[in-house]
Parts: sequence; structure tokens; C-alpha cells
Amino acid sequence: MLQARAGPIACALAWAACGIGSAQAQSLSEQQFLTEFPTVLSATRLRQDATQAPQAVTVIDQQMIRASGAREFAELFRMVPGFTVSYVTHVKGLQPIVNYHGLGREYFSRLQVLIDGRSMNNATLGGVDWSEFPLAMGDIDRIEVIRGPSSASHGIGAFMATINFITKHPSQQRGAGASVSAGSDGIRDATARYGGGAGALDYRLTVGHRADDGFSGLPDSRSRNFAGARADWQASPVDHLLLQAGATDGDNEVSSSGPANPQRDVGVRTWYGQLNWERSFDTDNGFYAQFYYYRYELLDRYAVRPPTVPDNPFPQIDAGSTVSRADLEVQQNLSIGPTLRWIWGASIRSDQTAVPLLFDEDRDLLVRRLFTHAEWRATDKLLVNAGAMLEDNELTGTDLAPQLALNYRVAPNHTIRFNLSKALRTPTSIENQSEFNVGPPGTPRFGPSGELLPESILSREISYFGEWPDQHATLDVKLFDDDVQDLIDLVGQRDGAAVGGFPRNAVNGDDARQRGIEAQLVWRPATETLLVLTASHLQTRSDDRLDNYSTSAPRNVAHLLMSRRFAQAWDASVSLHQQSAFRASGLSDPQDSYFRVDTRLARQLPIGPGVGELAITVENLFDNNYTEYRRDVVADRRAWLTFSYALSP
Amino acid sequence: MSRITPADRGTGSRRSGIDVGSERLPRWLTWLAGGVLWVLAGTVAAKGLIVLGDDSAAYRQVADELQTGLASAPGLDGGMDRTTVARLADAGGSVLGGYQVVVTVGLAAAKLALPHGTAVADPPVTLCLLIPRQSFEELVSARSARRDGRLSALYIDQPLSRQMDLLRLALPDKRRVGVILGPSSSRLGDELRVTALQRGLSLSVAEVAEPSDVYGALQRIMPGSDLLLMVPDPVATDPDTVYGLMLTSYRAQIPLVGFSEGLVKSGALISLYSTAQQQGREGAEIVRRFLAEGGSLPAPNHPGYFTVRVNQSVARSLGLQMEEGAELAKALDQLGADAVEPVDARPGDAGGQPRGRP
Repeated sequence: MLQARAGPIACALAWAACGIGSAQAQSLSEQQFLTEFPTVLSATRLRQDATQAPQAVTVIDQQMIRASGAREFAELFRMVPGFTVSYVTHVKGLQPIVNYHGLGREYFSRLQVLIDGRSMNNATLGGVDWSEFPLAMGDIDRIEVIRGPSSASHGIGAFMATINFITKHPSQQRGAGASVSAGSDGIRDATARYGGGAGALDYRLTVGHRADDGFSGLPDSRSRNFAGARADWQASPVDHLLLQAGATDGDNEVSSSGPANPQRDVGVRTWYGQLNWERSFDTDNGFYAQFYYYRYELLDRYAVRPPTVPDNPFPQIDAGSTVSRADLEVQQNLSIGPTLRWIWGASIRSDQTAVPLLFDEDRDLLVRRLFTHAEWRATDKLLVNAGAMLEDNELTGTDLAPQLALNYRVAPNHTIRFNLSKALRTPTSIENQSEFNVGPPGTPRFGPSGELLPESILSREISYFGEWPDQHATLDVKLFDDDVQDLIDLVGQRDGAAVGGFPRNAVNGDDARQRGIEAQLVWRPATETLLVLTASHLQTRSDDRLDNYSTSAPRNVAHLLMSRRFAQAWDASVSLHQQSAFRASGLSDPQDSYFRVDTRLARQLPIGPGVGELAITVENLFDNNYTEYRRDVVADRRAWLTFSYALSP
Repeated sequence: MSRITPADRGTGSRRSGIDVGSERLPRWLTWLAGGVLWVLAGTVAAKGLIVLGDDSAAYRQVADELQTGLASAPGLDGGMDRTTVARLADAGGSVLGGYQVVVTVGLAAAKLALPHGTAVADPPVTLCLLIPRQSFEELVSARSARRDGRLSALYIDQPLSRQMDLLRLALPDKRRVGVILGPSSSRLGDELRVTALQRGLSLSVAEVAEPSDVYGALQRIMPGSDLLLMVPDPVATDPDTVYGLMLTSYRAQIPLVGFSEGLVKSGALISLYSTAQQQGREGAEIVRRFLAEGGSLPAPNHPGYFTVRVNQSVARSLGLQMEEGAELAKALDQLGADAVEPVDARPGDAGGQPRGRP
């Protein structure tokens, strides 16, 4: 069928060459019936629906994103069972923190956060800067949240959970659009987007600005400019090339925490480039290759004023850091007969970190990975998922992370899943130090490399997934029993005695046993009507020798999101959020339980040739002054108006 | 009868057309040889000619089936020759006159083989295969070439009634059908509405003038559609826009019903179509019956042999439980057999073989 395959390429080239030709001149020929088309399913990488996924997954779609009213990416995860969203303002300015089942510190993360498969986890500490994503909320197609370890399928760092942002294909965003928001707490956001295409090429450009004053009464304002571009080229019916690039440039205001830590602005500059090549012969057979480079720079130079010696030249401190990551991954998908689908692949990642304040020279970390995953439809009712990842790195050597899951369909639309999976978290370059010797500013503070073990988690999960297609409703209930071992902590000494002062060590300190239940109901009783109800209960047992792990996440959380359209042009949504008290690990204060109500009201306005929308969003409607992380970070009511306008081609 | 014409043996020069020839033969000699063959063909043995769009696999599959099916056809002792549009154009249309029956495969072949009006006094009996109904009808009216019984076609496209029956069989709880029509398929709108109505389906139709309008049209009809039915049209189902169309409908979890193997392999949930082999087989049966009964060709019609293919990966991703294509084809065939078709008996019935084939 070589010739038949050559057809669309020739057509595409001819089409591109002569621009938009006279369509009427074409007549229908048999070629329409003989043409081979690119495989759509694999390009979207949506291979499994919820009944076949080996574990509990929450999908946040565009409707939920709109209904939530969120302008902050992190805020979207309030609706995901088991997740906690909070904010810290000390150290490097205002930073959202997203956590699953607690345990984490401020800037450390046990989540894998991906945007179109590109890891956003910072190589120094493992955390994610949720303010710097170079994309607009409207560029997101959906967010898949895998609740539980999934190293075998999502790679290094998919430890407690994995979040994958999937951006829209530009063909879904043809035309121009713009949006501006303004509101209390200095909220000033703007985005502009253009999507176009010719023939087999589709592209999108988004630029934007996001700024706010942070929490009231604190010097914690933020400002970001970003630009992102995506181009999709269907090079041939089987070859799809995806090129993405983006950059962020902004500042965080940092409050003073003593004379050695003056109030100042910290700069954040990031950029990335990513190339994906996918060759799909059909939905289950093909090759995939991905390369990306990601650079994150924190610019933080300041002068320390020694109070007692005013005449001395002020020592200049460079408390910034530069992290760059290059990652190459290849993968092959195969189907063997009608019942077996198989994926295998390999990846290599190089992280380079420069932290002048801590290290005299740059630190490199090379991580290599082999992975495989098979899906076997053993019988009509039983689906077996099995996978494993073999990881080798310079810090902790070679380790294996296997996963085995059984999905048993007890009745049509009702599935019970049994999942057993293990995952690892490699220590970051900062963690992998045997001691923290804090000397005078400007002198190296870290001692020689330590001999840490990777953290490990063994997760046992039984879950139920039910669907009521007539009602457009799904219910997901997850019961879990997880063993987390060798948690790495910065506070403490090798003998296990917790100490508040210096020196500090990074050690494999505590273990934790986590058990609980999570439930999620998504119901769409009518078009443009949505109800999402989630609830979670978590119990953590730990000796808490080095940190307060057992109280590091709220024990109970409930979230309700409702949205509906009325009178054709109005959209109204409200979300209710209740969480119990907890105290995050690290340097946080206890955080009381709180209840919060958010609401959004939007009106569609047909203006000229396009469609406009005016929306008002109120966060924390009843102005409940709960605290975040520290006692002085107090939430208050916040409201903003958004006007957006979209022009289709 | 030969399965390979001399020209297909690889030494034929393009200038010399379908005849034996080589670059070194003077042109007049080639013409002479051609002429001799033509005379021989006309007087010695009744022969048929298959005209293919080009040498690509789909056309060759049709030709193979035709030659196999007509191997020992009574009244065709000279067998079927095979040529392509390019070679026939070089040789000149008059060559056609030497054949008792001409079978064209594809639109380009039909265009070449159908003479303008009365340009040729006594054109051979011509059957067009692998041609969309709409293109055939346009061609016949443009050429004033209507010759009942001497010119007919086996369309590549499926009757809308069969398409709608399949929707009811395969996706019984999806009753709101969305369709995007382009400039050339817009005239099917009424027929679509009637066939949908007869089966208790509701239909929302969006019309587009340019491929770039498809996305907007999709946004308009998707909210009120449980499935999208693709109707072949150079604009509405332009290969470049199909990708975006599939992606968008897939994201919205709305199944797409296609009309070709390419579409279902790529991401449509289900497709109803006739394969090249099925077209060739059915074409051979039509020619055979014509030769045996010595009468006339049946009126142009949609194919009797068809295939239903389900993309089970897509079905799983959409959370749908689908029967296999072969089962659906069998059920569809049964439904078609039960219904009294107003058109003359389908050629497929004569052979006693199942009309639907996986």
C-alpha cells in the first residue's frame, strides 16, 4: 500500500503549496476511500480507559478546570482525593505546594509532575515551581492524576502520585484569543493566543503575564511573563512530530527573616525545548522518541549588612541556583495477537545543578532507566497489567520497581482492581550529602556525599470503578495500604536524635504506614452540568523520629464542585472544600481545619465575529481566615474579573 | 486468458502503449503491431480490458479478483487484459474498441474510458468499479454518456440505508447523529434525513464550504450528537482535516463512524466499506452474468459485498462494548436480505455467498 500511503503526503504538500485552493474544484474520487490516515489514538496517548487502568486515576478535564475558576495550576488539585494544596512564603517567596498523602517538606516533592511527558521536578530538591509553567490555563486539554506509585509506567519520581498535564492539540485552538483578569490582592493576568495551521502542520503560540501581591500583609508578590509554542507536524501518515518550546521570566518578592536574609526580589528564569517523534502503524504498534532540555535559574544575589561593622564591605551572597536537565526516552509499542499489548523502552537523563552557596562545583547526576509494561486480556472479564522499571543512577546504584495489577469486571461497567506496586525515589543532589556544615556566608555549607538509600514505597490497593452510562456518572473508590520506607529528612543526625540547630544531616530516617480510603464521583446529569464529589480519609503511622509524618496531611478532606449552564449564556459554579487540621513536615506551623467556598459566574457574550465571556470568580467567599503553613500566612477573600474573547478562523 | 498483459512484463515502453514494444522499435512499427493486435483481438477472441487508475496495490487487488473471477467466463475466451490510465492515454482511446467489455477501476480510469457523447459510434460495454456514486453520476451527465445496459457502475460507497442500519445495530443507544457535509455531499442531506427518520434517529447536519470550516462546524454539532457519521466529501473529509476532526471528537468522547478501512484503523470506532477484493469479486460476477445472459448490465448500484470493521482499542477507550465487525456484518446482511430492495436483485445473491464479509 505504499502508493496509497504516498497519496495524502502528496495531497498535503500540494495543499500547502497552493494555500487554500478552490475546494469546489475537487471532485470526490476513490482516493477518499483508499487513503491511510495517521493514527489518532496513539498521538493522544490515551490508550486505557478507567476500567483498564491498573490503578485509581483522576482526570481533570476542561469543564472541571473552567468550573473551578482556578487561576493557579496548583488550585486544581483540591478536587483530587488525597491531595492537599497549601502555600509557603518564606525562603524563596510565595510558592504553592501540592502534596499527596503528606510526608513532604516545602520544597521537596514525592510527586512526579509532567507537562506533555516532560518532568517539571527541580533537580536540586525535587520540588515543583507551580508558578512558572509556560502555558495558559486554556492550553490544557486535561490533567491525568495517577493516585499511587507508578514508576513502571511513569518513570523516575512517580513515587506517591503522578500528575500529567496534557496540552491541547493546536487543531483544537485555531484562531486567536485573548483574556485579561484583574482583581483584589493585585491580581493582574493577561494571555494571548494564536493557533493556525496549513496542511499537515498545526501550531499554537501563547504569551502571558501573571501577577499578584500574594497574601495580604506579607511582602510576597509574584510576577511572571511566559511564552510557549507548540507545533504539530504530521510528516507522513505514520509519522507525527511535536515540537514545543517555552520560557518564563519573573520575580518573587522574598520577606526578610533576619539580617542575613534581607527582603529582596528573587528572579526566576526558565526555558525548555522538547521534540517528540511518534511513528504509529496502528493504535497498538509503533515507536516513540522524546527529547527535552529544561533549564531553571533562580537568581538570588544580595548583600548582607553585618549590623556591628557598618564600614566593612558587604559580603555578596549568591543564593541562587541553576538546574538543567536533558532527557531522552525511546519506546516501542507492540500488540501480540488480540489480547496482549506490550510497551518497552529506555531513557537516559542528565541533571546538572549549580548551587554556588552550597557546592564549590557543579553536581551531575546521570540516571538510566529500562522499563516495560504489558497489558494482557486474559479473559473477557480479567485484565492483567504487569510492568517493571529498572533504574540505575550514580547515587544509589541499580533498583527495580515492579507493578502488578488485576482488573476484574464483575458486571458490565463495574470493575474491581487489585494493584500491587513498588516505586523508588532517588535522593536529589542536595539530599545526598552526609552533613550540612553551615559556615559564614560564602563558604561551602555541605560536606561530602552521603550514602543514602532511595526511598521506597510498596502500595497495596483495592479499588472499584463503576460507570452508569445512562446517567453519565462514574464512581471510583480506592482502599489502600502503603508502606513507605527510608524517608529522607534533612533535620536530625545519623544517630537518630532530632535536633533543632546545626549541623544537620540528610539521612534515611523514618518509615511510615499509610492506610485509607478515597472516593470520587463525577456526574454529568445534563450537558454543561457537572457535579464532582470527592472525599478522602488517611491514617499515617510513623515513629516520627525526625519529622511529624503522622500528622503531615489532613486526615479527612471533602470537596464538592458543581457547575451548570442556564439561560443558554450563563455558567455558574460553586465549590465547597473542607479539610481537617494537619501539620506539614518541615518548618511549618500546625494548620487548623478549614472550610472554603469558591464561586464563579460567567456570561457568554457574542461580540462581533467572535465569542466573548465575562466572568467573576470569588475565592474564599465567606472570608474564612485560615492559615497556610505559617501562622502569619492568612487567607482572605479574593475576587477577580476576567474578560476573554475568542475569534475562530 | 492471461493474467499479465505483455506490457506488464516490464519491457513495454510508455510510448508504445499496451502493446509489445521496446525503445528501439520505430514508432510506426509499434503502431503497426498495435493495429495487428487490435484486429486480432476483435476477430479472433472476445477479450475484456481492465483499466486501472495506476499500479498501486488497491487497484491491482481489484484486477486480480476480476481476472480470477472471469478466468473461465463463457463468452470471454480471450480473457482480461490489464492496463493503466497512463498507458491507455498514451495508446489512444481507440484501443478500447477492440474489447467486448471494459472494466474501469477508479475515477480516472472511468473518465478516460467514457467517451464524450457520441464520439465513438459503438463503445464497448463498460462497467466502472471503485467509483463514488456521485462522481459516476456527474461524469455520466457531463459526458452525456448514459447508455442503459451498456454502461454501469458498482459504486465504492455504501447505501445510506445500510449505513444507518449499522448505527442502529452497533450503537443502539446512540440516537443523535451528527454529520458534516461539504459542497459535493450537501445534496445527500435530504436522503440522510429520511433514512435517519425511518430508523428513529435524529440528525444534525452542518455544512462547510472549506476544509478550514470543519472545526467550527464540529463545535456546533458535537454538543447535540451522540456519534458523528462521516460522509465522503473532498472538503468535509479532506485528509488533512480528518486528523483534527478525529482528535476533537475523540477528546469529546464522541464515536466516529467512518467509511473506509483507513479511517477505522486510524481512530474511527467503526467503518462500513467494501474492500478492493470485494469490489473485484462483485465486478467479476456482474460481468460474468452479463456474458452468460447476453443481455445488458444491471443498473448502477451500491456494492452487495461489504465489510464492517470495529476498532476495539478505540471502543475500549470510549468505554464501549462492541460486537466484532464480522458479527455486525452478518447481522447487517441479514437485515438487508429481509428488506425488500426496490432495485434489481443484487449480483451477490446469485453466488449464494454471504454478502457481508469481515
